[in-house]
Amino acid sequence: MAISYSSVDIRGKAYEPIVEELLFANDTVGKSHVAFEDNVKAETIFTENTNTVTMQAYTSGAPSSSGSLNINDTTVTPVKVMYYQEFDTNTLRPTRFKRDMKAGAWNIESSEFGTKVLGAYGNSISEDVQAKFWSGATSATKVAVAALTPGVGQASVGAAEQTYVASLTAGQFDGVVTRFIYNSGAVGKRIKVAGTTITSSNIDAEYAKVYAAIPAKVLASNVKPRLYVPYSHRQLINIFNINATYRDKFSVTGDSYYYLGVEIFFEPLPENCIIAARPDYIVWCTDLLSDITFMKIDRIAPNREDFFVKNIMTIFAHVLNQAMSVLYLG
Amino acid sequence: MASYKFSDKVKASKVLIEKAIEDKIIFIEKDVKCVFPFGAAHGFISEDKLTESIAEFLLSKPEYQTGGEFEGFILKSK
Repeated sequence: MAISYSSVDIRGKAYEPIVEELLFANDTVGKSHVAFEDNVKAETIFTENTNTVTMQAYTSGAPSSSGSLNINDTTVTPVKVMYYQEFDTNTLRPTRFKRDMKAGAWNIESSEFGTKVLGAYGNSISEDVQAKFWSGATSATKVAVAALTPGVGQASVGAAEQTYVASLTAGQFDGVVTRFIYNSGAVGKRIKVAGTTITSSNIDAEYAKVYAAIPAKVLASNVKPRLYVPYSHRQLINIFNINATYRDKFSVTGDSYYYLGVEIFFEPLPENCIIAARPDYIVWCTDLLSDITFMKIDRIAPNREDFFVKNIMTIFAHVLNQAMSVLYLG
Repeated sequence: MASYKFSDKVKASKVLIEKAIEDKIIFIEKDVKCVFPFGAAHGFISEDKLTESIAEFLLSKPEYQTGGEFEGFILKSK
């Protein structure tokens, strides 16, 4: 595929910085917003253990076994995905990029194009894979969720949840939100909170619903839970605080946001969605984390002068101990 | 059982849809009449996806009700 370039043949100077599109940084990876499990080539087992114990009256005779030891294994095999693009640098010959091409008809490689444009392509990959980690659904999951009858009970898929999965274009793997809704062939065990459209006016009341639903033992645990929310909530929270009469309901310290002591993390989540979970319960599974940023650039074939840029990685979004996490969707 | 449809107020937007070509699935951009309940970057509901439960969920949201931004976007089919 040729480079799509609305170019002007360069005769004078070029404004040096190439104005790049503004992208969200992949803070999910860069700032460790969730847990990571790398070196996962195939069939890694995640084991969850829950036990029940029963106090009973002492007897010196034969005791009765009571309680249960529950162990549940889930095997995870990350999906192998790739980004691939072909381009022909011959189209750059009359443009600003010719300035650092060496003389000679064979020399049509521009280091400015490589560092600026292909570098930006790499940032686009990072932004896209982060978005899909949080928000995506496979065709199979879409079909399965569409076949369910929505209901208000915890064991039923919610109307908002079913609408969300139906709205997605089919992707390579299920994202975090979808995994909370449906996984291992059944509705997820998340704590479901039916939501509504969140605005700067009602955001406090809606966050209160999520906070109230967090299990007390999660708030008291040694790993503190987090609120994962859409990017737009940063603005909604700031507007809410500005309009608040006596005190800020949301605490803001520098770039850190908190609601009732729970830190808020802004992610590429759908609107009107809030996840309350411990960060170690959401796992980015991959073979090698740095695969996200590794790109191979080479000629398509030895006898050609056009190039390809290719990125390969494996990825899977796994959620652990779902019964301890809250999914609000409206 | 009620069924629902979009009114003429719903405009076409450019979205990614699946297209099967032989044994491959590719994604193409196409103008489709649809709404975006979770934001434009997080999927769309086109008329073919508008089941009764999805329509009733959307109609329960304030923006689809009287005075809302999307009032009259979803109608019951006769």
